[in-house]
Amino acid sequence: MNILFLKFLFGVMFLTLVFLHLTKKNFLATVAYSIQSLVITIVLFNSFLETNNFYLLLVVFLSLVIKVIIAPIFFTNLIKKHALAFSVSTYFSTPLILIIISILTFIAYSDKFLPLTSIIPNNQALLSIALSVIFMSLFLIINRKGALSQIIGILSLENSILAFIIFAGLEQSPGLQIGVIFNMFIWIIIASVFISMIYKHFGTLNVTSMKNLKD
Amino acid sequence: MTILIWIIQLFFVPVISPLIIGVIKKIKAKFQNRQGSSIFQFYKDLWKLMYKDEVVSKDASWIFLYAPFIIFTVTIAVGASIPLFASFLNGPTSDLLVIVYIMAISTFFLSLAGMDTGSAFGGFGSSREMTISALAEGGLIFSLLTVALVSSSTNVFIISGINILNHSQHLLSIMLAFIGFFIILLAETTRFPFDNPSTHLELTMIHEAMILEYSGKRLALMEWASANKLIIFIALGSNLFFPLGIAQNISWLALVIGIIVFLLKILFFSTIIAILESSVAKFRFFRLPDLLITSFILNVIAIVLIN
Amino acid sequence: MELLFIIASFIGTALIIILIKNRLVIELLSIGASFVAFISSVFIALKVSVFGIYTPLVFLSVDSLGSIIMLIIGLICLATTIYSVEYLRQETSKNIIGFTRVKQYFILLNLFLMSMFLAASANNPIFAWIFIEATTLSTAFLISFYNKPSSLEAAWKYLIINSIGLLLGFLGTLLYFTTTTNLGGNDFVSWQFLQDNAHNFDPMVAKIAFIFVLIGYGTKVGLVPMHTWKPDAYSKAPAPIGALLSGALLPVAFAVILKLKVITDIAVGPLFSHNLLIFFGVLSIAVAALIMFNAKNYKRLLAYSSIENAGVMAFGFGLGGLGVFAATLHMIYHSFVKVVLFLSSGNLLLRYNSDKIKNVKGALSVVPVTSVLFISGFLIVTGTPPFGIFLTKMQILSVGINTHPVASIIALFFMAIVFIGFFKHVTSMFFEEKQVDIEISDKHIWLIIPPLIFLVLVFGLSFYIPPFLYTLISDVAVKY
Repeated sequence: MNILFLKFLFGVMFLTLVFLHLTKKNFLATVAYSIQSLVITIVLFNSFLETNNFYLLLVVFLSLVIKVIIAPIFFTNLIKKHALAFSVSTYFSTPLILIIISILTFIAYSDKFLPLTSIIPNNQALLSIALSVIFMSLFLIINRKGALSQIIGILSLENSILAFIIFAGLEQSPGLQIGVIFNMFIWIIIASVFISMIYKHFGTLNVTSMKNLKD
Repeated sequence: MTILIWIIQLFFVPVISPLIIGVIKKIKAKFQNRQGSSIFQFYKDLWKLMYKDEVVSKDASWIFLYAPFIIFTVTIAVGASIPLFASFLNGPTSDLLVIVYIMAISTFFLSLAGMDTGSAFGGFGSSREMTISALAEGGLIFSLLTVALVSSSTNVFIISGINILNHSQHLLSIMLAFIGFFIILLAETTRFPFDNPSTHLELTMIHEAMILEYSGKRLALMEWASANKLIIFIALGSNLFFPLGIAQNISWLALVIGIIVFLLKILFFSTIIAILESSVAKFRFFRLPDLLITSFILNVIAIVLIN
Repeated sequence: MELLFIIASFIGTALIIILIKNRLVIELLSIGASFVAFISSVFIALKVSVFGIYTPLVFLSVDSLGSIIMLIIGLICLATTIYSVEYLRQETSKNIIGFTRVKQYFILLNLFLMSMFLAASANNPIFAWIFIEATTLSTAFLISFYNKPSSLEAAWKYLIINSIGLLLGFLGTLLYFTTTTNLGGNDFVSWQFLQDNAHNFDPMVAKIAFIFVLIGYGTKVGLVPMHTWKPDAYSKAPAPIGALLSGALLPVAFAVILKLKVITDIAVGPLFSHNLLIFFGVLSIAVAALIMFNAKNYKRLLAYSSIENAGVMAFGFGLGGLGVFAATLHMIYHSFVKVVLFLSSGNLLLRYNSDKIKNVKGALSVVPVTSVLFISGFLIVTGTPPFGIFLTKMQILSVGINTHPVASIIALFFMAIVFIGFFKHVTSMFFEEKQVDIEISDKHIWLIIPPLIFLVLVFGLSFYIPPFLYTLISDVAVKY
């Protein structure tokens, strides 16, 4: 697969993250997350085709099953069960979100992070996109008030770090692959249990309702 | 030979535009499980309106009387200046900024005409249109600027002559600019989610409210002009961002292929618009600026990513 | 060999507990596993002090810092397990929790302890990261143990903040791996391997990587401004879990930062990481001192003290040389004192049923032994002479005055404020008149013995350091 197709995939990933910032329905957020995971799986698969490392194939398969199929189905069931159609609002308003997104993208492309993005000079554009997606995922977690959106934010942070790793050429060490698989499993388990518990106790997924512990 | 091509270029937009409106309506009807009217219905509507009587309010000024002609002429002029099926033509009005601001003339006169008769509906239609146009202009200029920067020229024919997709290092910028442009396309041509072109409820109208007072042949010209605008934007979107199949040299084969490809592109866009109209509800007015600013920011990011 | 014993005993216990229904057997098994762990960690420490390093398998390796930490964890785990047995019995008799909860508690406790031991001895940064992530998983459920809305909120905050932190730490750790790409890439990458290749490291990438690592693992340690989960988590978790989090998990996370700091220092020069550590250290001391004044809950008070001590340790490690010696000693003292404080606060909670400071009055006459334990713990942890922490703080400050005078003076000032703030709360809790309706009793011996033992231990260590410990700490000071 040539560089053009990879850039296209990364463009799709960037756009899904922008969409995650702007969407107001939980279901659409879940769909955006599964598209993002699909993109990462394809990129991983591409990397497998280039290096023929068997563990990568395992990671591809697992991530395909867990991230693209099971997790969104699980979130959708959760949404249906508790009727959580609408994601709760955000701390910043939409125009401000967009301005902050553009500022974060500029920062990721700026000279400050040039040493980071030129680890492999051929892939510099891709690494810059991955870095800007990392920043945007962090902003998503901070900005959103709904518990489900925060979890999707953490999962997309994980996806974007994975994307960064692949293009910095580090995907081959087995420890790393184990780390990625482990992270995936752990997160899905935790997310499932906690969301149900939060809904049971608080009746809503709005995290600002959890203010019993303000000092 | 060139004269023939120019004649085709001149008449292409006004002749094909009613067909496209018909196609969009037909696809929407199919989605709603209806038969829908024939795709040539709009031609028959225009013909009917041409020989009907006109009723003009006595408070109307010359703006009301002359605006439809001005607007229609503008759309013909712009339609002839953009690359439809050929990229080797050139004209004095083929510059990006010139096109955008000539279209702005038509918006200007349309808004004035809406307010001219003093009716309340026309007034608020004009004010809404002005809000949307003001915000959409930034998005429009910046998205077109992205392609201009990538191909280092602002002449639309030259831009469509260079195959943008060869500049693979700018792929992300082009994708972002295209999405921004598509949102502006929906805004400027009064399609969903900005405006419902077939609404009959005055309070939800934007474009329709401004032409509410028109009748007879002036109404025909206004509606035709709006259809022309749709074709113009689709042509800009498809030929500036994805200029595959456009005729690069003067030869019968290239021209025929160019025309066929252009018709296919228009069909593709109209299918997308029809699907969008059948699945998304029209947004309430206060959400529209958010959408337009999204488009603006996407374009700004696209420009920055060029470097 | 011993390491394998530890791991096997914990896993075995956790698996068996799932099947057992007899409470006494569960408790005895857990205590047994902790005991095995304790003995093994002492043996490992002795071995390392003689040989320098201990590597039973290629992916598990313990050096001097690791062995000190394993010793700390081993001791603490024994004490907290014994304490938890009695604590949970008290809570069950008050009908706060039921049997299934107790079972879950012990399973999660064993998994937590096992992952901490593995994290302290992992030979590869990625494995260390995986095991620290495993501790996050087990402790999240332990923090939300009581299933009340406030504990759920604490667990949620803990989970989100720590996961973000650990993901950033992951990114930072991976940037260290860029040195190995051109060298094959399929070998097992150990700390030593990274250290040997550190000269290949691009300095700018090393700087950015270390910043990510400091922010990421600093979240786990509790450095400001990533400390916001600490007060909530410590106050809502059961008391023995708080002791474990503060006494055992903090050193483990710090160890990873230090090991990566060594690699960064080879690539960039020591000044960069030192400045960063000193900055975060002084900031943590300052912020902790200021919020301590307004604490309304005595467990949150202990969390703020933990943040302050993490700052002191970061400051010490950032000074290098003698500062590292003092900081390591401070780490040992702090872990043990925190155990005393948390376990006695658990006793207070059992007696007063409330964790707010204003509801606890006159505890000296109600629970005399516990109060004495708590007060002595307070005196030790804020650095009152002649105890250990006073000496380590003075040593750190004296090293700091030479190189960073302004930072040391600011740190000294805020340490004094910490003392004042803590003292104010201690007087209001212990020295006033008691409420009329609380019975005077302190009868459960097993609730008192673990913290008492640790208090004696800290007293003893303040005056006499066993030689093997001394060699280990000096080794750490040299290497780090």
